[in-house]
This record gives sequence, C-alpha cells and structure tokens, in this order.
Amino acid sequence: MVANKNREQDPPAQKPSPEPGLPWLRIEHLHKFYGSLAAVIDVNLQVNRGQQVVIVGASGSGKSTLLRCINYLETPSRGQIWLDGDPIGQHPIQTASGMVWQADTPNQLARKRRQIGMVFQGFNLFAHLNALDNIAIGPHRVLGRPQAQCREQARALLAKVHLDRHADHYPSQLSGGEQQRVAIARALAMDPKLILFDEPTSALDPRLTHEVLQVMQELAEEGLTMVVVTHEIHFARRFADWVVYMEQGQIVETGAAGDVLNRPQQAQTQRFLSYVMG
Amino acid sequence: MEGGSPAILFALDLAFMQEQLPTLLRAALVTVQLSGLAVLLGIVVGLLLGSWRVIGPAWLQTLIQWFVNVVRGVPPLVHIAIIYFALPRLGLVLNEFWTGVAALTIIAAGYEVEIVRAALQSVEEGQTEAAFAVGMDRGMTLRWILLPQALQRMIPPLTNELANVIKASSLLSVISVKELTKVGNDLIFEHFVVAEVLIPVAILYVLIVSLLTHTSRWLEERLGIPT
Repeated sequence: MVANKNREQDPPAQKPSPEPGLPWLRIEHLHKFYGSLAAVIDVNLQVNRGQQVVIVGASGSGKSTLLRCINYLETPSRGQIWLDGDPIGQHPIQTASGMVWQADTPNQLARKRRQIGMVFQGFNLFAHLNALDNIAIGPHRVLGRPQAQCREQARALLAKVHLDRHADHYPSQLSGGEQQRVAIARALAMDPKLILFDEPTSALDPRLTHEVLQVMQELAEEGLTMVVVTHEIHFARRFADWVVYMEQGQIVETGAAGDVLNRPQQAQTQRFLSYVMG
Repeated sequence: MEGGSPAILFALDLAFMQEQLPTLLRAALVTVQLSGLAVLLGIVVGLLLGSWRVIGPAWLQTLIQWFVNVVRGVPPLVHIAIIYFALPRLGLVLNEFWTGVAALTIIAAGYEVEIVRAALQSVEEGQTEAAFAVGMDRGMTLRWILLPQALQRMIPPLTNELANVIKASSLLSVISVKELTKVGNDLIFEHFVVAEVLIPVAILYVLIVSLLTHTSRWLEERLGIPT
C-alpha cells in the first residue's frame, strides 16, 4: 500500500512542486511491537514535499505510534524511514563484508530530529519558559544562533500564529489553544522539512480547536509538509491532500482525501466513518 | 541567682554560661563552615551523579546506584571512622577539619543523588519528548529543560537533607574536629557542668538549622515558575 501523490484537482499554485520521482518522506515496511503486541504492522507510506497527509483511525489503531516512529520518539522494531534522502534512526556503514545498517547514536538521532517538527496532543510547552523563549530556545541552544536573533524570529512566528501580544506569557497563563499555537511556532522555528501533529486538538474545546486548525490551514496553504493524526474528519476533508485510514496497526485504505472520506472502498473504513460522522 | 525564674533555671550557673558563650559561638561557626562546605560540595557531587544517574550509560547508572546504596546503608559514624582511617592509607593526609568535610560530603552526596534523580524524573515525560523533538540531545535536554524545572523541586528535600548534615556534623566530635558538640563535650568534662553547656549547644543547633530553612524558603520562592 504505497500512497503516491496523485491529486485529482490542480494543486494550489504557491506550493513548491515535488521533486520528480523522489518522495520527501518515505516509510518502508515499518513495524512496531511491544512485546507480543503489534502496534504497527508493515506500514508503507510516501509523502511528497508540500503535501498534507492526515491519518485517521480509532483509538489504539496505531496511528500515534506510527507518527512517533517517524521521529524515533518510539524506536521502530523493523522498517526504514527516509526524509529528503536521509535515513532516520540508522545509517549505512561500510564493513569488510559489505554495507550494513547501524542504529544512530543518540547524538546522531538528535541532529536528524532537528529536521522534523512535532506538535503534541498535550502541547508540552517548556513550563519554565515564556512563549517567546519556548520558540527561541531550539534555534538558540540547538542551532547555536545568537539569542537576540532567535527572539526576533520567535516574535515573527508568534505573529504568524496570531499571538503577538502573548510573548511574555508562561504556558500556565495561556489557554490550551494558545499553548498549541505556541507549540506550532516552536516547531516552525527550527525550519523543519516536515511537521508531525499528534492529535493536536484532542485536548481542546471546539472554539480553541478552531483557532488551531485555522493556523494549520494557513501553514498548509504556504506549502508546509505535514503529517497529521486527528479525529477531526471535517477538517481532514478540507485540509488533507491524502488520507490514510488505519485499523489494528495496519493501513486499511489510502487515497485522496475526497475519495477516502466521501467514497471509502473498504468496509472497515465505511464503518469507522459512519461512527464518526454520526 | 535572682528569684522568680522558672524552677529549672535555679540550678543554672548563668555567669558560667555567659563566660563560655564566645567559645561555643566559635565552635558553632566551625559547625556552620563544616556543614556549609559539605553541603555545597555535596550538591555539586549530587547534581553530577544524579544527572548521570538519569541520562548516563547503564553501567554508570548501576555504579552510582551502588554508591547510593552503600552510603545509605552504612551508619554515618562508621563512615566517618572509615574515612578517618582510610584516607591516610591512600596517601591523602588531611587535618581533622577537612577529613570531616570529606566524610560529610560523601554522606550528603549519597542522599542528594537520590533527591536530584527524583526531581529530574518528576518532570513530565512530555518535556523531554518536546526537547527531543526540537533536536536537543540528552545533555541539552538536561541542562536547558529538566534541571531548570527540577531545581525548584529539589529545594525542600535538600533543606531536609542539609539539616541532617548539620546534625551529622556533631558525630565528627569522635575524630576531634573542634565543632560545637566536641567543644561542648570538652567543656562538660573540664568543668563538670552539663545543663549549662547542653542547653546553649542545643539552642545554637536550632538557630543554625532555622537559618538554613529560611534561606532555602527564600531560594525556593526566587526560583519559582510563574503560575
């Protein structure tokens, strides 16, 4: 089950065109086991540059685990992940008996993770830093850029997520929706090749959900590559290029958002959608 | 003695107490210096070992856990004796004061490692994940995310531990460190008075520990994360 980008409508003009033949993110034969429990089973997925992919499925279907495997917050049991031609979590080394794959050291992994942003269900803003420094700390401490420059960039990113006036607020002084938008700005600050969203609105009420989805929609229009796990089917229909439906750790159906969400082919997908659409 | 005082004071030789006060104050200063140094060195060692205990390689974590087990399992008095007799054999000849500092530091560090570890592990897992997600390695995560948040949580248990160190410093009297208990004991056997010495000694210990508690409360407020 390989999801090739194959849009029916013309893509918005401002999106950078995908490099021919080279998917931006490539997941091959990914498995994740916890003991005897298989959380993710043989997942294959390709995401092109500038594409927004939404993964839907019931709780426990393995979609969050899959997402967390992409940046190795969970170590996959088997399989390979490539981002922009760069293997994540492992690297090839030359030995006497030929080329073998070796697991990345924690520091190698940390360097690769800089290219992958992540937005969490629980926001996970750094509790001891205000909004501005939550955004600035990555570029400042990880990339070693001067603090003044990082704060200036952080201010611009706060404006982008419509929180210009909240720079001095600490996470505990922000609403859930505001925290999540700061978290999105924090991910953007590293100028990542891809941002993963792990149920970004599940902890929010409908009004705050709207604020966050609004920002995500704007980022999509700018051509940011995003992989989103969500329960917001209506949002997925508007937002996604490509939809993946997962059940029991496996991809059941993939396709253009309009196809999968409006005319699902598989019985499991139809059943799931009939539950969530009411 | 003048009348009208509570019954117990009838027996006290107040003039003697006044006379010996400077001696006891000097000894109290030694106790403060001993404990202060042990506490500071203990915090340095505790932070270092406590951090490695959380993010270090597995063999190092095991080693540190053994150190903690040994320190916690051996009575302080036995520790002091071991260090007093062992250091010269290792070619390290220190005077009584620094031997005392070394012994207290090791005792303090053994407990502080656990305080640091517990405080670091009490920071929500999501903070570490978020730090990893912006590309921080373990060292950066510890330095910029976990320690700043854990520091405030360490202060109340550290204060507790520091009060224990001050009290444990009285055990150094057995290796003739001229701290408060030793000087008090000498006065007792020199002048054959008991209450006149032990009452001010006890009061001085209370004062030292209260001073510490207040400093720590002030620190805790200053380090506070705004809510």
